Amino acid sequence: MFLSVIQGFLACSAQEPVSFSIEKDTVVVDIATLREDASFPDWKTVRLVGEGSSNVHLPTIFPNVETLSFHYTTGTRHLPKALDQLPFLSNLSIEGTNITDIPLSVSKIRLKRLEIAHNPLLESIPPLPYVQNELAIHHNRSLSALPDTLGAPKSITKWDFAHNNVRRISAPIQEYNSLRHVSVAGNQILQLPSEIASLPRLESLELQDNPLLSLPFDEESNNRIMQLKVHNLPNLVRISNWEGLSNIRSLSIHNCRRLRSLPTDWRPLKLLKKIRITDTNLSVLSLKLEALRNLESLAVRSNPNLTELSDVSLPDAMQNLLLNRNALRDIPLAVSEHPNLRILRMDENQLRTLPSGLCQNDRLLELSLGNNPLYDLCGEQFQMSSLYFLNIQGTQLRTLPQSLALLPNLEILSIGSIPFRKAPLHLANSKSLRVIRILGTADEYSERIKKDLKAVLPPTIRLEEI
Amino acid sequence: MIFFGLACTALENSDVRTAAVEIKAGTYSVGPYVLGTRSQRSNREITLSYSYLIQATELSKGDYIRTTGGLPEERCVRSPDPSPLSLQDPISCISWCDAILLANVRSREENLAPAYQIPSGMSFSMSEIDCNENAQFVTLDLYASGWRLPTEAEWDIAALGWKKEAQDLEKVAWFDQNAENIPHAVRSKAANPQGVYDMQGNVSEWIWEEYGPLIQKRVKDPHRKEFHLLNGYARLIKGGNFTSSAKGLSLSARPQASAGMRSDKIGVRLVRTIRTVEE
Repeated sequence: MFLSVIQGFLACSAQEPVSFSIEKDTVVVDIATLREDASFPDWKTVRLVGEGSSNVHLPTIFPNVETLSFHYTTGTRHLPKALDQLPFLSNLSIEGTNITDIPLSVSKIRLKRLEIAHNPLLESIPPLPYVQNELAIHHNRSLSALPDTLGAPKSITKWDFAHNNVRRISAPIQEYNSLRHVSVAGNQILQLPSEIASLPRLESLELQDNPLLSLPFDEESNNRIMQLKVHNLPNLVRISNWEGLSNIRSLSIHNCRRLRSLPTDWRPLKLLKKIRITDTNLSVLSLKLEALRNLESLAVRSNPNLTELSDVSLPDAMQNLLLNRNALRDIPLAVSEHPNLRILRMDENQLRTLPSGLCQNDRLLELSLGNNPLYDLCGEQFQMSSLYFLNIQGTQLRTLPQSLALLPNLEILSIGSIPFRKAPLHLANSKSLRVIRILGTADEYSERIKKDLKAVLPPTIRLEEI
Repeated sequence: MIFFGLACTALENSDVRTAAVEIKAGTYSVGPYVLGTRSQRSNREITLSYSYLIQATELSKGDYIRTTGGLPEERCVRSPDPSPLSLQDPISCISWCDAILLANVRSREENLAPAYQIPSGMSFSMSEIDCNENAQFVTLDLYASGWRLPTEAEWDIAALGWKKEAQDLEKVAWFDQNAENIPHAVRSKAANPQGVYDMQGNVSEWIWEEYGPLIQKRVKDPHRKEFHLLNGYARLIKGGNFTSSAKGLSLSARPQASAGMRSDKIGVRLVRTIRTVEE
């Protein structure tokens, strides 16, 4: 390695010097200082940096380079000539330039990996028939069309086309049957061909942030996808079935503001462990989930029109249920009496009362009911013996049950600014409480409640303003 | 990185850290704010027991790339027309989570004590919803020596407590009247009298805290150590940006964005505590 550095010095010692440094096995060269008579013959990994540009004959300078990257060379408006004459080049990265096109010569290079990223002015890319393994064309904001040939069909395993401005994929997808990872996230795609969901080796498909009208899956789909993100699809109104997703473990639906219908039959997703449904336009959601025996966590949050959960049946494995920020009026029986639930969050719904089964639940560790118009905690029947954390801030409770001070495991109680008639002084009798959280408002009434509480609380209970 | 410098010039270490300005411990009158839930406007008396450094400029794209190796990869809300890439422009399209992670990475690089405890699931370029869900679990040690986001009080003090708000915006700010709908190189307008650039305009800047009513008129070292479960994930962004009107640059404005949001109008400026009065 040292010898090669010396050669670099000798080659350029007579004129303006070439600026370079070495990072492990990479020579990092300021592109603006490259000259035709410089030579780095033994370096296989080269990173060009700096804000200048160059049009030197790279094969002369880096005759043995295998991995070449243009790394935020913002002065580069045209790639140097003769890239296709680098005989050993197998990895090429063109990241952070101001080029407008990729020269045709690049399409002739037999590469293992090609990355073209963060080039905001790039508008066109020639066909790329010889990229063997990985093709990453992402974050090129002016790129509205991909080439018709997107790597060697028989061997390419990864397509990353995220965050361009592409409207469709015109390459014959069914021919690329070695693909394992595909991302088309963040483009302008209205429709994905169903062939993409039938690529037999496909393990991940990133399709979020597109104006998609529908998902590409159907009963013919045959893939190995284990995680699906249905995120930021503003035009998606309906998902009609869950067929073709028999391998997924994690399903996340987020920020699909027009989505008002999900399938009621969840059975095709038999391996699912995690479901998240947030920021949709759902008003009713069927949760007949008992067939999903591996389901551990369900989060249905911030769906402002969701008033009803129907056909609720939860598998025994479920431990976390997060139902915050909907418009739910009731807690279903299958929730309140679930035998293994540990965490239940129902903040910011429309709950007025609690089912008695919930108040007797002796497994729940965390219960959050903040900002509901709740006016009662099951009278004196609030006996959740395992409860560690209880949040009731922003409710309409006027008093707190005496039984609250008797809960053997309650350590954190968040009471916020609920409109008490008088300070809940009986909390001072609790043997388990460590923290009472109260809202730091400045009005006289709250100040008095705080003062009264402080006066009676033992040193083991801390009053914490939030 | 190893540098060689015989006949050929070694590549200069271009990692020139953004210069920083020291703000001394002391008591500052800042405002007028709208205090509490009433529409009463009044100054706050903010006492800081510590001095801090604030970066003189917004963090540039070049600075960000030198720390992280590349530009952010996730979805970003952008203006429609792409402009050429310039490493002198302020970094944008970073979420509050990215900014928090960046601060800790930089602290470690400089052998400073990281100011944040960050949940293990947080990583650069995580999605908006994942950031929102993790943001509430980050905790702050205000007195650690490491880089961090400014508290609202620190940012306001560095903006001169607003006494000079009537300064000539054309001279100090990129905004809708002069920016032509794109951000501009940091340090390309005049600094404020404390030597801090772009406190108004160019890109809005992430603040550590969420929006909340300001209640007390006299406060010492105001900051939130942790976010409780239900405080949500909105965070303040201050200073206005290249698309803001003159009114939108008002230092008293307290807009917010979800922690996971990435926008080409939101960037970051870091601060760090350098000494306390007790020392």
